[in-house]
Amino acid sequence: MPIEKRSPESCRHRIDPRQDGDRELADCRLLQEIAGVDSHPALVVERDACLACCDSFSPSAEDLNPIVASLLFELSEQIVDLGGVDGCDLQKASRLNAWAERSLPAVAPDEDDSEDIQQRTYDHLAGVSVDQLLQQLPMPAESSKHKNGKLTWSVGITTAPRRLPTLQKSAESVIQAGWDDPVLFIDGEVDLPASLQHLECCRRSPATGAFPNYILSLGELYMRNPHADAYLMIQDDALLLPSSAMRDYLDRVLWFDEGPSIASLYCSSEYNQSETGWHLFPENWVWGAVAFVFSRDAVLSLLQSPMIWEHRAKPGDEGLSRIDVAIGQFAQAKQIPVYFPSPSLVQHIGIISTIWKVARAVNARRANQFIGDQLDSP
Amino acid sequence: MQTATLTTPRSSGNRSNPPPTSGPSGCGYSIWQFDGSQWQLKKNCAIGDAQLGEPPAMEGKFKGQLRSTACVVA
Repeated sequence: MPIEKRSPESCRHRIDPRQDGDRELADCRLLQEIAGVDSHPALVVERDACLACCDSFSPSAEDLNPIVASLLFELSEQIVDLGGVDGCDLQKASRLNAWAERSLPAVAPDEDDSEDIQQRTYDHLAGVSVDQLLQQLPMPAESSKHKNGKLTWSVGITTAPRRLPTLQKSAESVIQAGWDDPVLFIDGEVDLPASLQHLECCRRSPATGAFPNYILSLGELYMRNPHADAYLMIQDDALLLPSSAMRDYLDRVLWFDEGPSIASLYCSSEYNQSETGWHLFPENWVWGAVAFVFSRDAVLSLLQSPMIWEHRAKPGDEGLSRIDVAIGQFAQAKQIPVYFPSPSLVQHIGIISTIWKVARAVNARRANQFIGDQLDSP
Repeated sequence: MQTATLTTPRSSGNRSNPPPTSGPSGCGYSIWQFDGSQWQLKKNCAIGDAQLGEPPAMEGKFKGQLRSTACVVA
């Protein structure tokens, strides 16, 4: 489903556009609302800033895109220098300044922090073939030793309320990639778009938290289908290549050995390799539970692991999150190999994390080598 | 099967999502401001002995735009 492109002319926050010499200026009502200030020079924005904001994800009083964060930082800094103004005292201005600063994700020098990755579409790659995928990600020699034909799959997608929803785009990509009946594991109140209402759902109310939902969901996948060859757990901000060649490709490639195995279809920019292909991860996996595939033996081992259940007992938010860290530690402790492809088969499109309040899918929380982009390259 | 090579120094602890204030590398971050032609350092938030990373490579989109880049190990 395409996301409507915003424009300065259609922006509901942009008021009183006017010409000032060769510059087009306007007032930003969102900045006014956030700061509680009706009039201040820093509320006036130039058209270039509005254009940049429209290229980024839609901001709100709860979520600042980097453009609004820049503008709010400047506005609040000026108010702090003044010791406060009507509607925004010094304390409030300081708080807003700190929030604006936190809302600027630390990116790599060559990365655009304001890009709305959800606006990227790969629908034109629907006809990609398995051979094309094999050219980008060759099949390791180990794959052929244990092949018995097509794999049987059990697929789940975990989701929770997001301020900027990604479930529809993510789930539709999973279906287009060849798995047409994923189970949705819904943690809390999530409105399902019409295109997904035919899918089997498990709703948790009240919500259990990201980590509990993940483990309970994996367990349910096993209970529903105890003889699958591969259990694919997808988080609702994963984007798969929208081609059925994805499933066919993985049918051919997995598994690499006969024992318990885990494969991450997602490769963070932190884990990029100079050699294209599948790699064995040498340490505790940390960056991303975006799309893990577990062999049947790996699922059984994980569900029986005291380490996994003890993770839940960790204090505060830690026991509710860090799915990737917990799985990485479990795999390392049990000497279960974790494989991953470079380039990544999956992109991480979550703009605002459900777990980390201002964390964005940038830098290490994104694949900067995604197979969809590589297939697009001439 | 090739074993992956990890070139990024591992930060201590078991975090996959460090708090935003420490930057993705745990070394802090720096804020740059675009003055219309180039990026100028606005705020240095390097942690400990960490150093400023490179300024943004891409040109800014408007005068006054801020961008944060991760600091690096010294």
